[in-house]
Amino acid sequence: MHGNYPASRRLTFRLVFAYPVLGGKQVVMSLLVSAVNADQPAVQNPWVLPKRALTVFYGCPEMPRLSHYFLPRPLFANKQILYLDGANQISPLLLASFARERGVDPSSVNSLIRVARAFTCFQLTELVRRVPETLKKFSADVLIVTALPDLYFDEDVRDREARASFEHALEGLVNLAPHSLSVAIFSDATSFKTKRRDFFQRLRNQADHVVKVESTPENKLSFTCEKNTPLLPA
Amino acid sequence: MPSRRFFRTQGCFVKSLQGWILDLYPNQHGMTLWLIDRNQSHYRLTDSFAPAFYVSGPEERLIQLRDAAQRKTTELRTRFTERTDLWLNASRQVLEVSVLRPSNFIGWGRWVHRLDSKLQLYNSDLMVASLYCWEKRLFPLSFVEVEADHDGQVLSIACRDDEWALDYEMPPLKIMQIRLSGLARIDPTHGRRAALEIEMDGTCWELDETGEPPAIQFAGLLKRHDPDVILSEWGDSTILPLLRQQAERLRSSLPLNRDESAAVQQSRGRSYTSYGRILFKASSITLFGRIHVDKQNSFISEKCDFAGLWELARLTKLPIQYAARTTTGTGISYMQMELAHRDGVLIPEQKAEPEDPKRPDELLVADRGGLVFVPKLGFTPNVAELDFVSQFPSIMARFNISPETVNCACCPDAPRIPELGYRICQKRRGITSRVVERLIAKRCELKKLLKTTPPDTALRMKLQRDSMKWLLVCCFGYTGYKNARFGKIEAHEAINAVARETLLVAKEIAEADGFELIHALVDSLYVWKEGATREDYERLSHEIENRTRLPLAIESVYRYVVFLPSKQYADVPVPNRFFAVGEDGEPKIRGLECRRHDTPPLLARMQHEVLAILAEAHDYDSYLRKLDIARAVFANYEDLLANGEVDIRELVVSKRITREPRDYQKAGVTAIAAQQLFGSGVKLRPGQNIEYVITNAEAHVPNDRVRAYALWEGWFGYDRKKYAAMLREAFEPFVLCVPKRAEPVLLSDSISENDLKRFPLFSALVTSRP
Repeated sequence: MHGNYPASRRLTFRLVFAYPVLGGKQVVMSLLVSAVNADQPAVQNPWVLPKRALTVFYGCPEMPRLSHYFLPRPLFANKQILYLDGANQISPLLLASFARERGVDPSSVNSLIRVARAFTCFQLTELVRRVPETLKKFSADVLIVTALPDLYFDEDVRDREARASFEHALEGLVNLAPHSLSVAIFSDATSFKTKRRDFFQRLRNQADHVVKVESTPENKLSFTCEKNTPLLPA
Repeated sequence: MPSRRFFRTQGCFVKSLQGWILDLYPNQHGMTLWLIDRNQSHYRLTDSFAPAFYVSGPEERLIQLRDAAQRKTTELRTRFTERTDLWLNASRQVLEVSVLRPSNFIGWGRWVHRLDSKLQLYNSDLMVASLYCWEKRLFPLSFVEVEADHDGQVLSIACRDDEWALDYEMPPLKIMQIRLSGLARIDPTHGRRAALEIEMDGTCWELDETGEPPAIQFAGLLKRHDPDVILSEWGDSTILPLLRQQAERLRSSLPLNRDESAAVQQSRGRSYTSYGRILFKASSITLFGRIHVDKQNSFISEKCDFAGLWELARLTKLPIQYAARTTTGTGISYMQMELAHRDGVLIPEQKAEPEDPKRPDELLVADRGGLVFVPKLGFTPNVAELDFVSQFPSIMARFNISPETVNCACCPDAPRIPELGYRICQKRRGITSRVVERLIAKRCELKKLLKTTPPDTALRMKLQRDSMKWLLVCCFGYTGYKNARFGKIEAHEAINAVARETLLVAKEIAEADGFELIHALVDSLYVWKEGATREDYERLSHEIENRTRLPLAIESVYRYVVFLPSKQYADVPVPNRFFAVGEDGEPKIRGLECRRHDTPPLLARMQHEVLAILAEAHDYDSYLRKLDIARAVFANYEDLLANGEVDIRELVVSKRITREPRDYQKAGVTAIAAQQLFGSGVKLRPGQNIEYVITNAEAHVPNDRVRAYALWEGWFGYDRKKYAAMLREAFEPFVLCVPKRAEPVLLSDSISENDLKRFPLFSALVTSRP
């Protein structure tokens, strides 16, 4: 098995923390990241991104925010991260607070991350297509992409153009196979009312791992591994 | 000069003529042009034109495309050529595809996409009319000389006009106005029924259902008067669609178009999101050979009247009807694209140039807006407002900040932007910089000219200037806007960084000269110094201008300014909530109810009336005296409300709905009114405005709390208590700067320790007592 997710199809991780829910909707996460893996064996830890695999996390509107909580582990292992932010939700302050909680100077964390935001689906596609070029200047170990394919649901973009652009983005992801990258995509696609829902299915098909993240009635996060198909050769 | 020897729609035959281009659009053989001459005669002409788009991709794919095009049609001509990539600033081989039937231009671009989605298309989704103008160096409403044959086919066309001219002759247009009687701002689709009013050359007709059907009467007027322009209120969404429906039902013709070969174009309304707000773009009715402008659906004609719209169409080279309905952002984009086209630069279909990867801390520094120094609360006399003139466009022009010039590859040692360290190209002038510098220059020239121009011409020039202001306002935002083809977020960030630095420099200069900064907001400073004269402020302005090398002007030296606190927190100052009175007694208002679109007219009227009284004050003491008069005016308004003497139209609240009426979860007043309209059969879309009257804000039954204005009847009445509270709240800003009277403290023998702390004077009294 490649990656860190077990082969069982519907495994729910009950995590040891909860986060407050404000007004029934807005979620604020102010966790000590170091606390999240207390009870789980490493192989089952949902916060560990599988190596050399494409993992899709989806299921709740806070996915872009949640992506931040996957960053400390590789960062503190001195790995470099390329973060393509289609959701425009990256929070440098949250990353800095992670560093401080670990007693680390935020500047050392900052030097390990490169962020590029996309405001249109065409920009996000271009960012994904340019990853091999970017890796020549900044050799990342982890690639995070947010709002894929959410950004392609923009009604101002004609269906044909959105579809073509999305196909190019998927091709761009396929072209990353030769690079030893952990690729994690954080998507809120399922909460959109759109005729382009098949985009998400296409992404699922291409992914090695698909993890559904939900907020339970007890205000806990549950991670359900829905797909676990190793694709990339070791 | 009268037109000579030409084919005229009325039958006259001439070979050449002079006139203005009123309308232009593609047809199956080229472009249709409608000309108006000085005698108000109009001419329909056809000019041959084959617009081209460009395709980029691997050579073998381009060859496949070329071969496929040859097999598929005779409408396309292809050839390999070279065009410039804006971002790389280098030539690239592309396949040029010329479309011989311009009306199919967009369709052929889509065909290429379907054929091979991996190919990159450029210039393929531009307006053909604008492309024609770029190629032929013409523009809408330009004065031209034409040679044509007897079929109206243009043999030659030459522009005898200049879009950058300050003062120009306009065609003598025949304008027909159509509107519904009654309150113009209420959307008639919400159920308001009214007679159709038509006005032309000072004559008015009222058409209603009591006589001949309005569609037939209107058709008769159109035929008789043959207007060049139909200026409507609610023509797009209501009047023209209803007239067309009625004409169709009666199987009667309604000659809205002059061009009988073209069908009236009706687009559908749609809701969309912009900067986090749900907005609604109404449907539109576009005519051919005749211009239709709906004042309720045209930002620029609402703000700047026809003079502004004409100026905008001339500068942007967008057809008039399109220019009237589109955003000024589209206008500035087309101006950029024209320059790009002239430079041989490829114009991408969409914005695809993404942000350069940067460190999170770099992002934190870069991703900031303009600088704000919160205002000093309360009444301050003799305050000068110094404004950087068109600051952001000036920065773009002065420092050559344009999306393609930021962090270019060719200038590694170029000067750096403060804070960010971005480089600016030293070798080529940016497209955006070139566009804005011409606009700024023309505005400045117009401003100079205004001082020596007769009042009627001056008004037109002012409206021209205003329309250019709207173009300039959005050119900065467009550098970061998601739909701007030549946008790049780094350019947006660089402009902001320079603006912040500039404001800081200005603040330091002012403080070094002994002025106090009362408030600063992005591109304007409010400064004060005891006893300062206008000359002192002018000296300061010149000093700042010399140091920053950006134009700065005194907007006004106010007799006084009153900065107001947040509505939630009485001690927290907020920018953009103030009123001031200029030297000429003209009030300047920001953030008060009378500036908001949703305020009932009664409240706005009361505030304006009160401000007119307060504007007579010169200092704090006279302000207090005038405030007493203002209180009496306010009391009069209260009485009118309490006595039920207010016209219901003065109490209409207007709100934008953010969702479909059925999707509202809570019974807020807007939701209730929206559902009332929905229940009566009105189709509402998110982003549309609705109007209602508050009938009983505290009613247990939600439906009784408000009534949609279109459904309101006299017996519903209005909620006097609620409107009185709203009136009081609207008066509150004028008394906020006046300290509440302290309770009288009587000197007694039993002065507490607390009193001594509050009133130090008492301490002296106590010690002096025996």
